[in-house]
Amino acid sequence: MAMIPHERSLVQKWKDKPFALIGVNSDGTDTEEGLAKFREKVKEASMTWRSFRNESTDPTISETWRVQGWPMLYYIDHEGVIRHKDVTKEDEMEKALGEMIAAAEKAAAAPKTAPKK
Amino acid sequence: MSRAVLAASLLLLTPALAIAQASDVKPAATQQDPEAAYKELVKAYNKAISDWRGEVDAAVKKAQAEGTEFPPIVNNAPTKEFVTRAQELAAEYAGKDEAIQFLGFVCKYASKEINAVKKAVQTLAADHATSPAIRKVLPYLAGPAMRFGVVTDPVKGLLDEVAEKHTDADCKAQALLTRGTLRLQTATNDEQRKAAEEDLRKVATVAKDQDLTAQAKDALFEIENLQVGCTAPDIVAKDTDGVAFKLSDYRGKVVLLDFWGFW
Repeated sequence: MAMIPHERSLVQKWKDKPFALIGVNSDGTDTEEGLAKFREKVKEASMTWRSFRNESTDPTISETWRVQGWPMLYYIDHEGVIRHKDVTKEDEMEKALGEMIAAAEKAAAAPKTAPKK
Repeated sequence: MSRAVLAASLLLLTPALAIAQASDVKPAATQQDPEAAYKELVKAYNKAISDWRGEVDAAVKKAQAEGTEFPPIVNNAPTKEFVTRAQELAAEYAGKDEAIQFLGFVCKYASKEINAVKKAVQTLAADHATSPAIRKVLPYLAGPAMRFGVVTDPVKGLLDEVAEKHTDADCKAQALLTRGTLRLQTATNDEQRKAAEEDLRKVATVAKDQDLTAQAKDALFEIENLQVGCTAPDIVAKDTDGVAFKLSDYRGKVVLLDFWGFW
């Protein structure tokens, strides 16, 4: 929850860039009450981004992704490769994401070559 | 059956029933019953921790409201008396299998009692490394090794000993699983990650208990799919409005996947 204001600013800053923030909320969105509480928080915090419902898979998403402490961040590049984990300092987050976005833009602008395996 | 007979048979049954029920009730903790003493200890510990959490919550809220620093209670879980009690009980059964669970308790629940943990690990290594009862407490060892640097070596020594020399297959497998998990959590280079992977792969070849194999498989999934440089596993799930979507829908974009909670 503490990271949300900064995340909101990142989403705003890169709204025209190839960037998406996707949340996975792990606080009991398996019940209607849990979901209601979640929507309330989303509204309160002006979260505009999309969240997976953690319990909509079995095992849950956080179990599959072996999340043992919260918050836990995965940085996934435009090719779907994990580039960083657990970078949580604001300036380091911006630097890491900025570089990844630049790479994504470069790849999109480059003439199409055979896809990398 | 007449009423009289029925009544008589009920009367006859009643005392037997009462005895059966009485024997179901757990006897009070005595020196003669280590199982009950252990349950009692865990129960009292859980109660104390739950009370303490309540006090911490109240103290944190108060400090936040007043803009003051958190009071010391926040960092002082009331573990000491329970650790001491577990040590006493372990001493009472010194050298016997019954001591193992109490030594395990010390490893699992100590918060600041580093010396107690160190001693418990040493006692487990010296007296109990070959007992089949060691299996149950092996999972508790990774935590202390992470929390208290000083016990890392004794923990590793014990895990090595059980993994290599124990005669029971599942004790061996559990030691490999705990050691592999610990190695994975502390790995800072590829060589160390490889050592962790070897331990975890070996679990399936050693274990009879399929649960151990399954746990090792989960840990291996992390090594194979969730490290930096791995292609992220796809997520096919629903969003919080019930709309299905996939992580791979976002290919071409940079994705920050944020596992978060309400705090």
